[in-house]
Amino acid sequence: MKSLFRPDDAPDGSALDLHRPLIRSLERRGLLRGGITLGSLVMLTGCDVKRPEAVQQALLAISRLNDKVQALLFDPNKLAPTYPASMILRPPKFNAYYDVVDVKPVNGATWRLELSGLIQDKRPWTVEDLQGLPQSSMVIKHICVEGWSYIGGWTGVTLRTFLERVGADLKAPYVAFNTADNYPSSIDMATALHPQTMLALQYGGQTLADPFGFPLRLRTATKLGYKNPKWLTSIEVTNTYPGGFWEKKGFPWFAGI
Amino acid sequence: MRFPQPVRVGDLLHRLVLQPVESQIILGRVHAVIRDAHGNVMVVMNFGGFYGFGGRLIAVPIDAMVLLGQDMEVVAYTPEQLKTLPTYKASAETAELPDDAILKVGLAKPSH
Repeated sequence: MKSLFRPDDAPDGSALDLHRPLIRSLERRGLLRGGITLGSLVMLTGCDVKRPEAVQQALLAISRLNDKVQALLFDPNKLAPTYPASMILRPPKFNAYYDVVDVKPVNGATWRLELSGLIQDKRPWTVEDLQGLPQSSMVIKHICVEGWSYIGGWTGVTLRTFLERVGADLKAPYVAFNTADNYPSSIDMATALHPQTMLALQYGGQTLADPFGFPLRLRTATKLGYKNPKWLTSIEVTNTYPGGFWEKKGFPWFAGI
Repeated sequence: MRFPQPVRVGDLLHRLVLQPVESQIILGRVHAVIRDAHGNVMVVMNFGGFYGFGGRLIAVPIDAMVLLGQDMEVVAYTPEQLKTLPTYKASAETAELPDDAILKVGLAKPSH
């Protein structure tokens, strides 16, 4: 049966033959790419797509807008899903921007957590000091931007408890982290004060193992995996945008889930 | 060093076994963990099937394998070398390790 939507006078079939080489050269990805650069970018920003830096600036502007929208949508009282302890993956999945054989273990006995920026009490913290603060546990999903995930069980001090204890300026917009593996990172204050954002000392009820960030790492249930720096060495509370390792390479900064 | 981590034998069973390449080709699935006649701990996996099902059983030394999250990888043998391994058959000299036994297994390089 003839389709109800077929027009009475069909277009001339020769048009298809005329453009066959072009049609053959079309690929789905190429089409998407072309659509993005020539279509949306020009429309949104009016930039010159022949200049790659202009395109990059435009894309970064969109990414920053995305960050702002995500920050607006973030509900500080809404909890991410939690799971029973029986679902904890033991051991957790190792991940870093380098191979596991290049992990440099941190000496917990001499390790100190340095504080800087808008914090009243900047005395450095030892592992024992941190263990002396109220501890809590959470079983949450680690979701990587690459697409994999696993369920992990973390114990430590909520970042809110810690920031309140050291007299941090909770009105400052950023909390920045430095690590022993040179992986700077930073999060927004709303996320830092969320009940599922933690300075983790333990995994699955055991002291963190070397490849997973011993002695201290950040774990937040409301952001992608790359916002969870391991082997923390310092925390800064600041009014200046600190960026981060992947953010410098163009990854979104807010990275909420 | 691949930072061997303690893992329960029961937590290794039924894991996918992957080839350590970006495309994460599935080689098989963990069937059992055994101690062979020479006292070596071996992972018995089905190999040569589809998506970890079917194929035949082979025994791979646990030291040749690493943990990649919920999966395992064979890092010390190529798929061609695995093809040449004999088909595994349980015998009086092999013993399956209990689920609660704890082994130490190294960690895989991140897969990106």
